[in-house]
Amino acid sequence: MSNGFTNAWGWSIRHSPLMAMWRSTRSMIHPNKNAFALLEAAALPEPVDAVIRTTIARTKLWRDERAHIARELIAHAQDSLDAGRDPHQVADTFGDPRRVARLMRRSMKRKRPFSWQLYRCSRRVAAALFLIVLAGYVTLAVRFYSGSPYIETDYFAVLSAHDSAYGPEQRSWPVIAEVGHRWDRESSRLINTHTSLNSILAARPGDAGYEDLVETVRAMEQDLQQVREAAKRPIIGAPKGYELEQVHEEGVSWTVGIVPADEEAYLDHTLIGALLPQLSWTRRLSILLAFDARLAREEGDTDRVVQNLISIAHLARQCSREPYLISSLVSMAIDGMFAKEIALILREDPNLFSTGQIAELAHANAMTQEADLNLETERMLFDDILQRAYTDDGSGNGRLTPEGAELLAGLQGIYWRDANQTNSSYQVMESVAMPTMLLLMNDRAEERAIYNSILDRNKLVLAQGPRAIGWMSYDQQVLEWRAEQRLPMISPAEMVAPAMGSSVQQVFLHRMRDQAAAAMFAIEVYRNEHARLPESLHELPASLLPQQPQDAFDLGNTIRYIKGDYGGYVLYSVGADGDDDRASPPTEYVDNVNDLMMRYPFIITQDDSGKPLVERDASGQPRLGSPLGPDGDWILIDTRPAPDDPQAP
Amino acid sequence: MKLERELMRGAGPTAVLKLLSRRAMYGYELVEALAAQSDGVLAMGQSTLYPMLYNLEAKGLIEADWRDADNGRQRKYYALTGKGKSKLKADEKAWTKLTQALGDLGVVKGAPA
Repeated sequence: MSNGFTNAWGWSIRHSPLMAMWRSTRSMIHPNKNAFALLEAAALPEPVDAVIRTTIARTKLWRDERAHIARELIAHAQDSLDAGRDPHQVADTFGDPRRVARLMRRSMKRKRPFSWQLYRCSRRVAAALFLIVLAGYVTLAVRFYSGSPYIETDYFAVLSAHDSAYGPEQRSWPVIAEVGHRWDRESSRLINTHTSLNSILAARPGDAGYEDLVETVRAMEQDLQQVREAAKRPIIGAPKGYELEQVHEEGVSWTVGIVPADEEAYLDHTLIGALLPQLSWTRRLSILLAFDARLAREEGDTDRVVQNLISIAHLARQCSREPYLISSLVSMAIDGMFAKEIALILREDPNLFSTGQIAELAHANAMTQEADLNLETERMLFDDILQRAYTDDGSGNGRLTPEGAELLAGLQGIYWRDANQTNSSYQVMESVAMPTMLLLMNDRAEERAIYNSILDRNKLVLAQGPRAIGWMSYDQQVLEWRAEQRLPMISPAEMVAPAMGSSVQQVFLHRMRDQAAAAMFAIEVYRNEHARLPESLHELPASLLPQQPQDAFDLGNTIRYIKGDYGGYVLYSVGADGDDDRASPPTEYVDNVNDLMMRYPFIITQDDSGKPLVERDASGQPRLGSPLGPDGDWILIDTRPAPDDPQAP
Repeated sequence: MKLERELMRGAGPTAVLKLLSRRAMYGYELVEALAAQSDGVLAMGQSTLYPMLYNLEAKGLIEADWRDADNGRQRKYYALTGKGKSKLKADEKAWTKLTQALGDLGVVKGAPA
């Protein structure tokens, strides 16, 4: 029993993976040592000794295996010699040492421990897998590096044609560029000198640098007059280009315009790369006009106040005519500033405007187109990227190209690449890794289909109104679900989807703000005519307010109106929680307080595969969940003086 | 006459198992016995025999141990295991059927029809 136990232990140790590893390792050093020692001791005739020696050496087995074979072959040779055979004859019967060694090696390896067999098997499997992967990679690399894009449509020409019907006298661009550059320099100097002037409209008398700001703005009166005139023109009409016109003054580069691009330049630049300094200039000139309106009020120059405010509305209108989604957003921001500035003036000086002036302002407010998004240009921008990034098989499909990978890398935030890396080993690694993008990215048709479905859904939601806003979050969940079903896909279309959804939301909110502004003008005319504020919005005649302003957070109901305790009034929406808190803004901090998705959340479940599903009512309309927004209202227009305000009684 | 390699690959192991079923034998002895008892038909050199023995050993059909010989040297004797005996029985049946089938076809002359 004890002996059997000991033998079992001995076998286990001899055949353990550790021992196999030790035997293998030991054989790397003097592998023939033991075998040759046996041959020395046997003292066989030279030809026999030589053939056994050569055979042993060629087996390439472990040291103890070689010794084992040597011992057996020596015994065999000695038996042959004892039988009277000639040494040369004995040596000949051993056969070709190379062939014998190969046969010995194969058969001896079959006797090796299971752990070694397993290791050899897994090594072969790994090698086979490596070869398969390598073959797959080579195929992928050939496919990737043999692809090249084909630029079929000149979207630049399409976009340039947008303004072609307008002559130079119908464009505000030259003035915007000239005064915009001048105001850039002046505002930069002001901020560098007085950090408190970081926000011009937040500056108040007594602030450090306020007097400097006032003097600077007054010195630009002629420039402002040019802007007021230019704002009346139909469009901004800036040239389309990819390069800024710059001047260098005292070590600082200033943008003074855009270098108009020709058709050839278009071949080297994406449409999305077109530069739009006109948007930031328009916005900053609107701020300048708003500040000058405050100065004009202090000076008692109400006409200038009104002209400045109307000019701001005109600039918003011009921005909305620019064919980009971003220009729609800038237009809404400028338009919002227009209404807010008027409300601030009314808070401090409710009787400033005459009925005629209010009518002018109301007309300017109505003149701005109803907020919308230029989504078709977005489609063009994306198609332009696709045609530069993918091959074209003639039927609308294609695969990513090396140029496309570079292009997507250049579009910051669209994918992972560090475009600033110049390290050569990094670039080699990147070249090796790039073909795998074919596995990680959708083909052209699928990418376009995703983008179009997102875009079309945005258009549909814009048409259907805030109640349909839940489709945005549903689409986002579908995209996430799709990503979970596949390899970690990189999809530019999926990445831009959320940003577009938030733009749709901005449109709804801005439309409501616009209606609130219209109500404000109607109230002001009413006050001038009746020497009192209306008790409710319904008291306003249709001639002043043709349509009651609708609350986007309380569909079917009007925006709320409350008169202030010390004069003035407030126009407000019930906000994301959907209930009326009597014009109390939310006290709880949450991201995006005025989020329509919080007010009208879809009830989204999942099907068996985990795909999001929208619950619908009997009529097929999406069912809405309970509002998720914070308690509190959203103040749209507030002309109420604060209790400590000199205007308060 | 020597058998072709493929035939030898099939017949050789069975022949070795058969020899070892009678008694344990060492390598040189097996080479001599195969040549003498098969009239040279199944003769094989040590280059074929030893790899075959190692294979049979790896499969557990035979086992080996070193023993002292009369001349004072050591020899490695091979003997059939239980598994080897079963394999030999199965091989014998298979070869009998094969020979009969070849006889029926007239390939093997004088085989029982």
